[in-house]
Amino acid sequence: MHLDLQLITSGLAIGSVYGSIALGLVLIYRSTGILNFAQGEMATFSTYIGWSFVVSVGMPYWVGFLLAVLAAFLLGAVVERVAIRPVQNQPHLTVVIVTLGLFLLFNALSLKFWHSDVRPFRSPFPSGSVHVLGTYISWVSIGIFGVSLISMAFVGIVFRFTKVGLAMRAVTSNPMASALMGISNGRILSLGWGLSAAVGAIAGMLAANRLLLDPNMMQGVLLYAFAAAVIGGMTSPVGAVIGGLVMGVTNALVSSVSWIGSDLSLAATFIVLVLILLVRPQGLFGRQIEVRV
Amino acid sequence: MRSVLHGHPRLVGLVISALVTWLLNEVLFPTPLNGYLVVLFAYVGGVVVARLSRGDHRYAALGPLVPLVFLAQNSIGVTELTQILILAIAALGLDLITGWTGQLNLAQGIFIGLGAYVTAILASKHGWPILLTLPLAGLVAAAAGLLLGVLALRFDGVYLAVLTSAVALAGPVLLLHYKSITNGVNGIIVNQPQPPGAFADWLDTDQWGYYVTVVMAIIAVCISWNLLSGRIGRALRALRDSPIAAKGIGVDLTRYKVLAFAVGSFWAGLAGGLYAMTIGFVSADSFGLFYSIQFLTIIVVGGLSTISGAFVGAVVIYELSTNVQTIGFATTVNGVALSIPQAAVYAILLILVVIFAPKGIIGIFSDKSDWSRLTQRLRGGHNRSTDVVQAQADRPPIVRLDAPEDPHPAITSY
Amino acid sequence: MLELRDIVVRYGPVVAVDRVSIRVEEQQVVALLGANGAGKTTVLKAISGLLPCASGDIAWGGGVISKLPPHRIVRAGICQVPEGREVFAGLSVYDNLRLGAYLRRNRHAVRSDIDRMYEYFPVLAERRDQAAGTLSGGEQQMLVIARALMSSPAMLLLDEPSLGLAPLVVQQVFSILRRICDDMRLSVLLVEQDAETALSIASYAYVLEAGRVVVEGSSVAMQGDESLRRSYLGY
Repeated sequence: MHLDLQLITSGLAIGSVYGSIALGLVLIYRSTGILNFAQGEMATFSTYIGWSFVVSVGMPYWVGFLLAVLAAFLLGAVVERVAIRPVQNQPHLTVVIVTLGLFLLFNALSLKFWHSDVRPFRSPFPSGSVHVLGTYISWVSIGIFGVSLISMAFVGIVFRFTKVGLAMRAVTSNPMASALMGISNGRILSLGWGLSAAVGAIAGMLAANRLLLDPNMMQGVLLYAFAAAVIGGMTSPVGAVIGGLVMGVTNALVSSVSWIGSDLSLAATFIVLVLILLVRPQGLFGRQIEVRV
Repeated sequence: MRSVLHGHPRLVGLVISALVTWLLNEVLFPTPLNGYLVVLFAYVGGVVVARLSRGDHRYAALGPLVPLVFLAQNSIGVTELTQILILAIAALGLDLITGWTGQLNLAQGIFIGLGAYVTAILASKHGWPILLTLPLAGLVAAAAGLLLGVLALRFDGVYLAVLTSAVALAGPVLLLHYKSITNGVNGIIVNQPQPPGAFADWLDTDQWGYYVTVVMAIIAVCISWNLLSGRIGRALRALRDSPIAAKGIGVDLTRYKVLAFAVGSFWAGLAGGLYAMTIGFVSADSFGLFYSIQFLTIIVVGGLSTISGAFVGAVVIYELSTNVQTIGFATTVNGVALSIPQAAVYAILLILVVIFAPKGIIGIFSDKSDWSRLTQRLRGGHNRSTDVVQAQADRPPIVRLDAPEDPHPAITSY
Repeated sequence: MLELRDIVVRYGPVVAVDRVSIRVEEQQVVALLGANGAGKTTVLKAISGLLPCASGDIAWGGGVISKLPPHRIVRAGICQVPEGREVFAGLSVYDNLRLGAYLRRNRHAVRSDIDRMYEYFPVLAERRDQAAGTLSGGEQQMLVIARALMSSPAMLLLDEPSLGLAPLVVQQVFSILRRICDDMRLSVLLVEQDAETALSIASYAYVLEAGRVVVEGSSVAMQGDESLRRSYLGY
């Protein structure tokens, strides 16, 4: 395992995609305790919507991009309202089944509308690379990393500095009290799902630069995002982003080891994950939640 | 076995199931009915009668296993039924892990794969008799399950879901990677066993495989019953409903969690062995995450923590995932063809079932449902909730203390 | 004026509140007394929309509010201070107060109200940037009261403000409360187990037992009735 700067930067780029998906997972998990298995498939679906706007309709890339993000936001909000809210107070497993059902549903819908053939998606970033610190970093990597960071920073700003963000934090912290403050918990949760689907759509569009667009594109990504969220402690947005970067770099480095190769990198990366969790069961950034009895 | 056969009212459902099947099969529908439909009717008949006769309706679950014996004669739907039973055996195992001890396991499919490979490798490459490989398939999977169960002790809730989905995704990749053992993407072909001498005259290969599966299913059900109806069952229930309280009364958390994982994986491995034997081909990509999710949906749709739920769920999910095209929806609007793909229909149905019948299909028949209240009324029993309403009808008068100069108005009446 | 007319609240088949009728006039402080499990908190939750009424209705300011969701009831001017000091533990004291004013649009007025709360409860001003979960029990109780007041309600539903607090702190909370009620012309429905303290600030009281109103009357009458005090109020 040699520390190759180029490997690390490309690992950071894909890691920022993992981080974005993980951020979406964490946003939903910390407010409702739901692990959204459909996060990746919803992102794929939204990416296809963007692809249709850009390639089929012929819109400029960034216009299609924004429309896809908007569509994803609406999709997320509607999914929460229609599929999640009816089972919100059911046992954990029931909710998991619903999100698994959504996973199957969006996978099937992507397959239905856009078929299983792999589609190239023109990258908005210049090809070629830039020479930094004795190594070459591709513009694509820089672009992916940059846009992810901007989207995640946007989420951070919404949370910290807006009234809606304050309400979201309130619902997360104490749903009963927030209802008594006049906050409509349902609307805030819908917004949260919308926000996380929007972040997911951005991640999907960016991932399409690196991976080829096909209905199963985000399944591997989702797994790394799970791992990222877990490393981040499941409830820490910052932890999720850092967890994503850690997973990206780890995966890039592990893949470069000759006797592991890209074939087994998935398995090897997860051994790393399990080891981390065995040492720190709450993840690197998780805090043991104190239960006051 | 004692507890299984204990008390004859409980067997009523079983007998009735057999009768219903026979009636359906031989008298009402001389042409062979789709196998699972008969079993379903048999089950429902068994439950109804068992409940009406104040028996334990859970024992009616054995009912469908009895008529299975007749069904193989039709030869129609035998392969279908075989696969359903295999799904059910594995689902029974998953229910032990997820339903009874609340450990979300998304990797059941990979344990089935493990069992299937054990059987395939031993039978095809080393010439073992297939029946001999079955327990071994279970044991190998159980060993792997033990390992995962020990790991699972460190992980809770979502963390376990992540861990097991990682196993589910990484498992097939690993199996494909070690080509020398697993034959890689080419998979392993298994020669389906011929029925032994005495049976060879009146059973074909499919029917033999079917009977082996039926016997295994019965064994799985009986063992699960004995496990779950006694002390261990109570401990597991306590564990699932309130882990902290269970610990407080001395239930050994770690032991049961690991035990559930090991036994649950054993059934998965056994199902895998049966899968290899009856399908005749084993390939790693059959055992991925989607396959594992299927078992989770089986136990949830059927009804968590119920033995019969695993079977009912297996029937429903198997039929949904194979025949759903016929209920797929297709139409044209303004000349544009609109259709919902079968997988989407499956997914939507799954979500609807979970939303509208959160306790699964078995839950519809369970104590608190409207259905059971109906049967109670048919039996002349009374409804508890009306009692509450009547009990509150008599309200004592409210004492009003209006005038401060009258310190004892009506309070003396108390 | 708030009026509960024969409301029934159930938890599944269990009737927790059985045909309770309660009236709170404008600017009146009414106490709802009774032992543990009598259904006092359930009544408050039914008013604030956290629990549905199985029958009966709740009238407020000329309309019926018993079918509204919680956030609409807050909008209508009724704010509940829940039992057990339900602060937003991870958020700062300041953010907690801002959330109290979630429905108000006038930022200027909100800011001056926050300052007013800091005047009533100087200890909150000292701790304004501290996470609410790190406050002491008494401070948290003050915070939830202040937070509720931030919605500038016409009616306050107070649930067991004395629970788990030292007697001295209870005195302190209640004396501030009395001041605020006068200043802000609040109507209050006060749920308390500590009947003596509650009657000292309420003008009228209801006693609940097993989900039913068994006694009602003016505070003066209740305080003067020794056998009632002994059998129901425990002092």
